[in-house]
Amino acid sequence: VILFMKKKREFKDILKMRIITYAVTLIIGVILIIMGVYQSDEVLSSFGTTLVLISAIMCIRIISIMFNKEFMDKMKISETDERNLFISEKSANLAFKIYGLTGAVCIIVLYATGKPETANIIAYSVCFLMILKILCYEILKRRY
Amino acid sequence: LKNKLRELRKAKKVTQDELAVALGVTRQTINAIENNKYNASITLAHKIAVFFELKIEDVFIFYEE
Repeated sequence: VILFMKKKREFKDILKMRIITYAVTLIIGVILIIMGVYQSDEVLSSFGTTLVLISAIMCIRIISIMFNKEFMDKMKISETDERNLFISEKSANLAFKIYGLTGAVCIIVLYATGKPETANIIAYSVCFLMILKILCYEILKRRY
Repeated sequence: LKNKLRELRKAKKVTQDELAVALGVTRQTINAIENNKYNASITLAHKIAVFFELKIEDVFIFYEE
């Protein structure tokens, strides 16, 4: 029973951490809106608004889950379920490959159509992701 | 890797939902294992074997190619 209660408290702590994360995102969103208004930048303010909306919705969702024991238990099982984790890892891996491939195609098309600046930005992001993957692999290789 | 999960579950008159709750996984995972769409980890295989009071090799059968 103690172990079960401990596990349950741990999951509640995870949810609390998520609320904090979304609260920080919400604050960043508000800052972006203010910056957008002051600089008359619509892109910045709309990005901030999106961040605020998503963060607020997620905060409300997590808080409502924390007060519903049955739903919290279901969510805990769903999040720790090994098949769900397996699917999550697979989808992340697939998304990485698709990003690399579409990025490469975009770079070629953009260079061919005379937009090297945009192509460079995409190339840097693809390279950064590749380097990040190699770094993560080296770190995880030492751990396991 | 094949398994006898469906047969064992039906013999014990346990639903997929009940088994899932007992093992701490989702019903979809139980269904995927029964249909050989997903191979359970060694930890989950052990939990399943303990639930049915059997050995892992009595539940899961490994076929060499």
